[in-house]
Amino acid sequence: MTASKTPTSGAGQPAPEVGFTQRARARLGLLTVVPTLTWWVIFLVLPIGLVLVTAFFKGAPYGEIIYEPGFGNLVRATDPLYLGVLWHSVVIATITTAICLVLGYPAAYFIATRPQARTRTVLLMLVILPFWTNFLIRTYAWIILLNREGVVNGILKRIGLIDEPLSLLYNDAAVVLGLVYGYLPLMILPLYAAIERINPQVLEAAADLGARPLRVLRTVVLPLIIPGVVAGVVFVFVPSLGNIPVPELLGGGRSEMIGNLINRQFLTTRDWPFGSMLVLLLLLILMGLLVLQSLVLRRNRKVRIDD
Amino acid sequence: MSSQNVISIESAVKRFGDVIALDRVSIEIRENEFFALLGPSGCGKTTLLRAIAGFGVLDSGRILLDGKDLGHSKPYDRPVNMMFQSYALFPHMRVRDNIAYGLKADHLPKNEIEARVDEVLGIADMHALADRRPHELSGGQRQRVALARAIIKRPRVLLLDEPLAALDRKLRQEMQIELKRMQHEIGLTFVVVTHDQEEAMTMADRIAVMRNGRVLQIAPPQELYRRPADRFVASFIGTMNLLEGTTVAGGVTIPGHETVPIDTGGAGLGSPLALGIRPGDVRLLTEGEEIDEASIVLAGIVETTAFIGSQSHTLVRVHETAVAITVTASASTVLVEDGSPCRVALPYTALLALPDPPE
Amino acid sequence: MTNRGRNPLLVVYMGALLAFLYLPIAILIVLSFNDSKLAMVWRGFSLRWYEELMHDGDMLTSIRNTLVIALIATLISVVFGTLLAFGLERHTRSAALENGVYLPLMIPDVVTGIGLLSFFTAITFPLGTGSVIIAHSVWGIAFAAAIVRTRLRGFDRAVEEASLDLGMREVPTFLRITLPIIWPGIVAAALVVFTLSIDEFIIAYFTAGQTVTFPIQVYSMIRFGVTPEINAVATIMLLFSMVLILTAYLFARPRPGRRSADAEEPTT
Repeated sequence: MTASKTPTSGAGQPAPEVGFTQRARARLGLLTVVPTLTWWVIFLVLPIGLVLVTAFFKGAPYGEIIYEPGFGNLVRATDPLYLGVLWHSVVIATITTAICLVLGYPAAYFIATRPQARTRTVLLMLVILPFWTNFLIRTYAWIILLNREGVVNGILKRIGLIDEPLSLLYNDAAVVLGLVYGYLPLMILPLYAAIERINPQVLEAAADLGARPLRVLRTVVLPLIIPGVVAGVVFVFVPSLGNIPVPELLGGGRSEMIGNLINRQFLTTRDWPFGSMLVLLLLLILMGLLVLQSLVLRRNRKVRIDD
Repeated sequence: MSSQNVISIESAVKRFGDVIALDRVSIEIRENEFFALLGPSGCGKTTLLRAIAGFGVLDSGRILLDGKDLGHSKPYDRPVNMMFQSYALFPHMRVRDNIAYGLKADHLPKNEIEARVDEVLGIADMHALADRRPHELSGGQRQRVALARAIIKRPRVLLLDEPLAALDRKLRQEMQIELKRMQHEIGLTFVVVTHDQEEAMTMADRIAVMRNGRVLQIAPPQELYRRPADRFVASFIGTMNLLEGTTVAGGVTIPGHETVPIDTGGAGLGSPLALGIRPGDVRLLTEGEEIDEASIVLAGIVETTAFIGSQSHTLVRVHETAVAITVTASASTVLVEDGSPCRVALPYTALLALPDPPE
Repeated sequence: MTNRGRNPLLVVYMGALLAFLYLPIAILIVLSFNDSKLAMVWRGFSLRWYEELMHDGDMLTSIRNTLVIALIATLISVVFGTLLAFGLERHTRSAALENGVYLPLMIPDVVTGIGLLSFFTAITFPLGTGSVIIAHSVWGIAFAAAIVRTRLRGFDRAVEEASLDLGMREVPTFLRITLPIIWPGIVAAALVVFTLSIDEFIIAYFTAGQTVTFPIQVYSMIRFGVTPEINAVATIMLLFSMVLILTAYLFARPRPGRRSADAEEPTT
């Protein structure tokens, strides 16, 4: 038997058994997991399921729901007005993600290549720290900076560059700026983790084996970094796409995104079925993203093996 | 009195999935004995040690302590303590509290705990370090704390899982002697698991050699060396030259030589059986030298000679079978150049019949 | 690639990036001490906005609501999350569970918020402090489990065995050995969940009903326009969060020598 040749019988031996029988330990295991799973089924799975079902009912003028299944909401969502908002949201989230990637990569690279662990820790901490503070307040900080009586306009006026204050707020650029500011740390963190894992000796080894720099990048660096890039893209894209306060506060209703639309359906117009359909569409877009993610990761693994 | 059995393991069986970790293992361990479970990794020795401690229930078989079946009793109900391979010191407690832990578990009165901790700190020579935490200790110091913690309850048996594996070579040799001394001093029964045959040979009164979940031989170190039960034990304990042979009536033959009269230990006629001889028993013959003793004489070429201290080890490649034979002799007597032809004599009296170990 | 990380351009870039991250916050903090209502006019150092804050009843109510929500949500999250961490680390090897555990963190806040709003309404569960607590615990558990787990992963289980071997039963072993060793992880988890809860806006916005939490209060103030009082409250919140997170970090950080012993797996 080949099994007897394996070095340790401990290989098949999980955690040490503490006198418990197998069954008692399994029961203990259930006890640890079941409360949370129950909690999540009730307060996460059921609610989202409810929304998905509601999407196929009809809304009545005063916020009631008419329980007649149909695709009316889906048809309504394909109205250019709503499709436009959906598309706009995807564009804004994509631009935000791209900017975060471009801004975040050099920073992650810089931090990951500090020779001292202490420096790396402090820099990383500095980059992450703002993320843990109130998102609304960080968004608000940009209002102070950018509004007509704000700091930026004030400075520009004082140094004589402008006479009249510029309209820096309430446009797409302000929304993107707010989102980048909010979620940049979420991009840097996974990028850093990926870059830090690359052993500098691997690069030297690749060069030593005669690989040209570009080939080193393609065959060695990229496959190692792509999982970090993919994680960062997901981390930034997901909250950007469904964001509500940034387009509201920095876009001022002029750069409406799907989150605002959903918000309005539920709290103002009170057409919950249609709002639910919009949630469903949002989820579909995100699922598409996750499928894309797993495709990229699978391809990446293949590249690694092929080369 | 001294041969009283403390532990009797009767036909212990333990499986992990498809792997048989213990295959009908039976061992008796005597009072105040230093007993070693020796074998390569995966042989089942740690599984057995843990079963004695109460970690992991046997699939079948029994473990008796002082004649009583331990059954499924929990680790905390067994008067047996263990020193773990990783030492498993409590990182959040001072040395003193680590050592006192077992007594606190038994709810002993405070002043008794203090007195006994002091006593054990003395034995382990750890008084100065009593208020340190484990991460402030060196490897050797941690080992001593682990030992002190395990002996303070005066267990019927002290189990040691690779107690010296984490130490560097020099410290390991010191601690081998130290452990042995301590065992004498406190008069405990020690069962130690090790993969290091030298360690087992140095410390143990008796050794059980294990392989693939089975016990191959239980014997004192000298006997293991002189009369190994099979080829595996023979090669695992020290160096052994092996010649492949076949059993015939009245002994063993190797191709091209007369029958060696030797006890084949009941092996069937015509079955393969190896002849073994320790390097120190082989004679390197000088040109034209004859030998009076009945011996197997083989011609070959000297491949290389290494001098280690006062001894020389010469490797001779035998012509017929291309087997390498190691010859050990005192360095002054042997002066053969590499590559020169030579003969080696293997006296019948020094030959051992070595069957294959059970699979 | 040879002069890795010695590029002066990168140093400048890193500085600029940190400035980008911190300058807006810094300006906000400075302005909170400005006696003037106008951002561009410095009328001298003053604590008047903080004083005004102290007398703002709505603000104080919202802060109290948020603290109650955060405390209870943290408690639920840490208890469930710690249990879950134990289950994942020691009792199951289900890949589905393994991946599913982090799903609550991947779902956009709008979706969670809308889902719970619909659900609570459907079962006529009153919206308010209770519903927000439940909503926050949904992702709080996932966070807590993730943090406690990192602590459990470096845990040498031989330490628990040593305790049993020395005569301590299972429950006292858990209380005297296991819990103290993973305690820093639990504290860190609690601090993180607490911080996230007091700052969480969207989910609370949908599930709070008439109850006003602190971020909701800030949101409605911001919609009314820039006021120095927001600067003051923002300053307090920023510093509070930073202190909490830095403390959590100090707790979660593995200490030297605390990394459990080198030889972990018994090699039979």
